[in-house]
Amino acid sequence: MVKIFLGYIGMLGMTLLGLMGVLRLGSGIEAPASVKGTWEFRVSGPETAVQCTGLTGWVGNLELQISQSGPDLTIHLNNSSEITLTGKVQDATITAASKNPEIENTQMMLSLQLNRADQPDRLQGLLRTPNCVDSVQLDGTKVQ
Amino acid sequence: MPDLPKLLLQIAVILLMARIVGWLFQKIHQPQVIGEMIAGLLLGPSLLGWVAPKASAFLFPPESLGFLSSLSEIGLLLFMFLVGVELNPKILKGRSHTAVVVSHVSILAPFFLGSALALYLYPRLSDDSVSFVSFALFIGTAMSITAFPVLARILAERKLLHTHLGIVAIACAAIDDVTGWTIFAVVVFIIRSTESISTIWLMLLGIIGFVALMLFVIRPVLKRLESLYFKRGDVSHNMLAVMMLVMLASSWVTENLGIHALFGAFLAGAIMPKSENFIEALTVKINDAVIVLFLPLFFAFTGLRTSIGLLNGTQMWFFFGLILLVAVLGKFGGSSLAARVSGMNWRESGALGVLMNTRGLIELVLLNIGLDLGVISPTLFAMFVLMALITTFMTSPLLEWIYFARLLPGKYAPIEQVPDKLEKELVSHALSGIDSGKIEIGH
Repeated sequence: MVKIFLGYIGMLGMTLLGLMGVLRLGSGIEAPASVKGTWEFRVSGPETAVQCTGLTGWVGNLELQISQSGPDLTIHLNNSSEITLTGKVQDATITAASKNPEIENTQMMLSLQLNRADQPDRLQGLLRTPNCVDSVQLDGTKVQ
Repeated sequence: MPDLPKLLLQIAVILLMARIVGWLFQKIHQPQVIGEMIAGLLLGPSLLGWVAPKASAFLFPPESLGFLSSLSEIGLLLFMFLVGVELNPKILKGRSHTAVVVSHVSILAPFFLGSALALYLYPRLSDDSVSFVSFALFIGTAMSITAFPVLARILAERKLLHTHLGIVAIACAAIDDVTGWTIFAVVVFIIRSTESISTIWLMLLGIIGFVALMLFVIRPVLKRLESLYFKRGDVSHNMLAVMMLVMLASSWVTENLGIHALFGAFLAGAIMPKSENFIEALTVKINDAVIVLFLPLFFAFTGLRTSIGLLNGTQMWFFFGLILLVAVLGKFGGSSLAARVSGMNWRESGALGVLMNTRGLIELVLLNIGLDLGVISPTLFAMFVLMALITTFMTSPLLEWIYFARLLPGKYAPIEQVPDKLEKELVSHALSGIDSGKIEIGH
């Protein structure tokens, strides 16, 4: 009985010590920047680019829903299940491309920058389609 | 306003699926509840949304899920109240040191291994909106849960409640329940503690004061309800209303104190008077609606949030494999080793480890809280839901393989030959629960 009790106390102590060690080790680990949520973007740029990318109807009205798991991102445009981009966040840069590039008019490439220190709720960058020379500029804020 | 016809259609489809898949699982000698959990998964994006996206969008449009969520939350409050009600303090007070040691090791080992795994998973499956401490503590807790009711059902089905193994397993799982939920309450409190230090201390004092109030003021009052029950011979509607009010008030307070409403419901159930007849009369009034109606809604709601498709690519499946491995190693390995060190033979120790590895519905409750709190991502949620289903599903066949009680003599004698009076009471309590349908389908 005494052996079991001492073993129990020893095991409890060791586990708690181990747990403290894990928490201490983990405090030095950095996770990817959080960009999940809904973002609203102002679309701007040369008119030719806006028309070419097919974003004319979205000027000032582009919404991105970003789901995140670690650095991996899934991005839906304007709540559409048709236009889905997948990509990554590394440091403060998001890069994403169409998940199903074979579907017509859904081929897009996205590149966004996050200012982690000063403006973590703001994303700025470019959206491109393969057929267009110019890109449209995006400037967005997190709404949810 | 809810779209009532849509909500009724959703409930009807969910109930139908739960009954059909539950029945199919019974046919393959699995507790019906596992089938109901799978039914929920099939209605979500993992199957219906994948093979018939239009039907899925028609049946479960995102804007309608709020009402389903509210209904399932109410059902969970009632379920946690019942879990607390069916908690038998005799199991906790009079248990042998073996049960206490095995139970605590079966929590500590997976908790530690889960937290250690968080070191690897945190940069890969989380983001900087979640602190490492919150992430690691949550993963540890999610690894260490045991589903007491599923375990009791499996023991009853296999006629193992009468055995030494059954008695130790029931006691371990009950201690696990109390310890696990207490740890989880602390973890949720830590995760939610974004206030100033003084506010946190105030909230902590509030929690301690509230638990004391429930134990030393409300419990004696509820004892009078028990006396009234013995005079009248039944639980009247007014008595039931009082108990529901206590549960709702307790849930409201714990939610506002920074832990979750479910802990309040559990606490309210745990302080209810524990005489066998009273408990049976009370649970019969609530149980059927919870099991037949509300829990399938919760499973469906969980299924609608679970997208197995998020596990795309070998890397994600590797992460899932690691989670499953650590979950089984920690729970099965920890319990088995502790049981062996405590004097049980290898076969019994292995069987106890298999039983303690059952996670079931309790794990789903915990995971939903984690997803709501934002501690885990939808991908990690899907991985843990899969892990919960697999560890629950594997219990019956593994037990059959490891432990042939019917072939083993001696220690595995029926309860009439076990001299300990308390053990007889424990077994009769567990059996009365099953006979009355309290844990009929093993939640």
